[in-house]
Amino acid sequence: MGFEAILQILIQGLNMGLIYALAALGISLIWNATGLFNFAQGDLLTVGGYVMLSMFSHWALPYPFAFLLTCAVMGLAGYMLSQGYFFPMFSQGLHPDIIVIGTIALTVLVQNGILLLWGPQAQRFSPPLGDSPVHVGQVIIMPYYLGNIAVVVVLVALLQVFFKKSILGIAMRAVAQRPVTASLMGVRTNHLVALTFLLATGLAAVGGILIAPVIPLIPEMGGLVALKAFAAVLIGGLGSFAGALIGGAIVGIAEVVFATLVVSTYKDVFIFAILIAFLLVRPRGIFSAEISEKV
Amino acid sequence: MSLLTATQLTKRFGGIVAVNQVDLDVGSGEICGLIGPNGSGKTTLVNVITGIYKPTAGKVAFEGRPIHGRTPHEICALGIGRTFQNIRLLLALSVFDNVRLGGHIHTCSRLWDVLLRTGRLRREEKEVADRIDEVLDLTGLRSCRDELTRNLPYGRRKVVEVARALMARPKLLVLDEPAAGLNSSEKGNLMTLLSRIRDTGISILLIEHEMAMVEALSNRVFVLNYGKKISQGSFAEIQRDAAVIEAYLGTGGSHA
Amino acid sequence: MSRLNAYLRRIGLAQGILLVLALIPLIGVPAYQFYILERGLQNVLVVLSLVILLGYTGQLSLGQAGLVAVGAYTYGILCVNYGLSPWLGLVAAPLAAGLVGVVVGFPSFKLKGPFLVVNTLAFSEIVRILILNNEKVTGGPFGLNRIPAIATGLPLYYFMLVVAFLAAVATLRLSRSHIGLALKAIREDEVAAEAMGVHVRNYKLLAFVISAVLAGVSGVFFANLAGYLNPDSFTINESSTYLLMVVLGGMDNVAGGILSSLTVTSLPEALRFMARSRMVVYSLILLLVLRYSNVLNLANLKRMMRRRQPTPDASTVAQNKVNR
Repeated sequence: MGFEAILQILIQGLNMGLIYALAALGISLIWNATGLFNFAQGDLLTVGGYVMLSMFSHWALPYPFAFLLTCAVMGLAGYMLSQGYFFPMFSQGLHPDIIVIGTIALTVLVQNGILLLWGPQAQRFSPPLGDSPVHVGQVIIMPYYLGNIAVVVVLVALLQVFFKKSILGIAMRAVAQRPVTASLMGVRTNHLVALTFLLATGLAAVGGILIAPVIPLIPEMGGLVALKAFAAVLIGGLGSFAGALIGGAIVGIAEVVFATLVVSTYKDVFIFAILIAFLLVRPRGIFSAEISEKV
Repeated sequence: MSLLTATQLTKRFGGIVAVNQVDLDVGSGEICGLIGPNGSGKTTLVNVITGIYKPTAGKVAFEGRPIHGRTPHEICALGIGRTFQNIRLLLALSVFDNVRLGGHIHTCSRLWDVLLRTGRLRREEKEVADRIDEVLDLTGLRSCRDELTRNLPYGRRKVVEVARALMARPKLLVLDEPAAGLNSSEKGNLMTLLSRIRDTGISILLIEHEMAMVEALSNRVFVLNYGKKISQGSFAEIQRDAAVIEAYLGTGGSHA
Repeated sequence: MSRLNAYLRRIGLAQGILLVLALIPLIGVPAYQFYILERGLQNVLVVLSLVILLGYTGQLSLGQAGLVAVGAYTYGILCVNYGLSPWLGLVAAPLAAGLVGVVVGFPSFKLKGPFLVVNTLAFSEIVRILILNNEKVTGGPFGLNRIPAIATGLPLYYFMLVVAFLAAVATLRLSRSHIGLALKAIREDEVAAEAMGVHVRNYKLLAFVISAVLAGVSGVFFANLAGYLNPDSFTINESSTYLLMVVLGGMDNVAGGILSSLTVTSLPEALRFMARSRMVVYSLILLLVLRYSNVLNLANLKRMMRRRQPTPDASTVAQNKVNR
C-alpha cells in the first residue's frame, strides 16, 4: 500500500477521529468531576451542529462569530443543565443508575427537540474553506480536514494550559473525586460541576460544528456518533485526557481502514467488536490508571 | 489437625504490604482472637482467608485442603462463614430475608422449581424458614423477624450479620469486630452468643478491639502490627508481651 | 402473616391490572387506540425483563432492543423464509434470544456501570447492523414482510395478555425465591453476596439470559402485531424507552412496570392534542419524573393511595439519603 494511500487514510481518519475525541473529552471531564457517564454527549454534539447551522447558514452570521456564539450558547445550556437538573439529582442522593438514565432521557429530549426545531430532513452547511477537494498527488484532501485538525489541536492546547495553569482549572481537577456524595455539598462544588458541564457541552458544540460539513446533520445523528464516542473514551481510558485523544484517533482511523479495506457496511461492527474486546481484556483503556477497590 | 491453617500469608496492594508473612491457625471448637492496632491488616488478612482477595504469597488450608485463590462462594461452601466490619446487609429487606440469604449455599431448588412452585421448592422453603427461626432464636432476633433491617438499631444489625453467617452451617465463623458500636448489655449478649456458638462445635476467628471480650472468649490470641504477626499465645501471655504493649503504646486493656 | 398479605396484595395488583385489560375490549376501543394498548402490552414483557435484570440484579442494559430484534427476526425469518409454523417460531425465537443473551451477558462478571451499559449497547447495535446488511435473509432496510401471525385481532390480544400474566407471575415467584434474593443481593452488595455463597458470575448470567428470553417473546409479539419488521424499530431509542419505563415503574416493581409500560407507550398518543410539540413534552415529562423519581414513582403512588404507609415527606426522603 502506497505511502499516499496511508496518508489519505490517516488524514481522513483523524478528521473524524478528533471529533470523536472531542466528545470523548467531554465525557471524561464529566466523569472525573461527578462519576457520571454522560450518554447524551453524542446528541449534545449534534445540537451544536444544528445551532451552528442556524447561526451560520440561516442567519448568515460570519463564521468565527457564529462559532463562538454557538459554543457560548451550548456552554450556557450545559451550565443550566447541571445546575437545574443533574446537580440537584446528585445532592438528593438519587441512585447513580437513575442519574445515568437521566442522561439517556436527555438524549430522547434532544432528538425530539431537534426534530421539532429543525425538521427531519438532512441538512448541511458549507465550511468556510469550501467544499472543493484539493489534490496533493494521489491524496484527496477536503479543505476542512486540515481545518478540523487545526481547531482541535489548538483547542486541546488551550485546555491543557487551562487545566495546568489557571486557578479555575486546577480547582476543577481538585473536584475530580468520584462520586459526588452528600458530604461534598457546598456552593463551590456545585459551581465547579456546572463549569465542568459547561466545558463539556462547549466541547460538544465544537464537535458538532466540525462534523456538520463532513456528515449531514440528521436528528438521529446523536445516537450514531454516541457509540463511536463511547468506544473512543473507553479504548483510550475513561477519565484520561490523552486517552480521549488517542481513543478518538484510533476509532476514526479504524473506521476509515475498515471502510476502505474491508466491507464498508460492516465497518461499525468491527469497531464495536474492538470495543467489546477492549472491555473484556482491558476495560480501563490504554491510558487509565488502575483503580483498585478496597473492600 | 487444625481446622484452618494460614502459612506465610502475604498480601500486597501495589507498594503496600498489608499482610506480611503471617502464620495463623484455628483449631476445632476453639475461639481465636485476632487483635492489633487499627490498620494492622486484620481485615485484609481475613479477606484473603475468605477469598475476597487473592494472596500475593503464602497458603491457606481448611480441613487440610488448600483454599487460597478460591472464590468467596466456594470458600463459603467449604464451611467458612463471616461477618463484615462495616455492616453489609440488604437494608431494604427484612431481617428474615437477610438471614435467609445466608442459607443460599444450601439451596437445591432450580429455576424450574421456582417458576412452577414445585413440591420440592415448597418443602425447601419450609425447611429454610424453620432453620431461619432456629437461628433467630439462637441469636435472640426472633422478635424482629419481619422488621425492615434499616429500621433496626446498629447493635441489632450486627447480630443479624452473625445470624446470617450461621445459616450456612459454617465450621469456622470469621467475625470482624462484631462488638464495635455495641452498648454494654449488647456486648454481654454477644459474648454469651459466641460462647454458645463455640459450644455447638463451630470455631471462631474473632477480630476485636474489645479486649474484655477477647480475654473472656479466646482460647488463643494472635496479634498483628503493620501486617506482621508480632505475638501469639493465650490472652495472658500476649498481654505481657513487650512487643504487643509497644504496638498499642500502653493503650492495651479494655476499651469503653 | 403480614408478609403473606403483602405478597397477595402485590400479586393481586398485577393480576388486577391485567384483569382490567382483559375487560377493556368489552367496552369497545377505537382500532388505533387498541393497537397502542397492544403495543403497551407487548412492551410489558421487555419491561419485566428489565425488572429482573436491572430492578433485581442491578445490571443496567441499553441493549434490550437488540434482544427484541433477535426474537422478532428469528420468528419472522423462520416463518417467512423457511415456512415454519408460527407456533414453532414462538418457541424458537426466545431460545435464540436467550443464546444471544448468554453472549451479551458473558462480560458482566467483570463489567460494571457505564462499561456494562456500553457493552450491551455495542451488542445491540451489532445485531441491528447485521440485520440491516443481510438483505437476502432479513430484508435489510426494506424490511421483512407478510409475517404470518399466531393469531390476529382479539385472540392475539388475549393470547398476549395470558403470556404477560404468566410472565408477571413468574417474575413475582422469582422475586420471592432464594434466586431472586440472590439477585437482589448482587445488586446491593456483590462482595457480601459472594461471601454468603452466591455464585455471582453465574447468577448475573442467569439474569441476562432470563431477560433475553422475555425480550425475545416480546419480539415475537411485535412481529405479530406489526406483520412487518424493519431494523429502525430496534435502535438505542427503543432501548432507552424501555429503561425509562422500568425506572418509572419503580425499578423492581412488577405492577409498577406493567402500568408504566402501558402509560409510557400511550403517552405520545395521549399528547396528540399538542400536535408538533408533543414528543418534546413527552420527553420533558420523562425527564421530570426521573428527576423526582424517589418521590414520584408508581410504586410510591400505589403506597400513598392505599395509605398503608405515611405519605413520603421530607424526613423520609432525608432518611433514605442517609441510609443509602
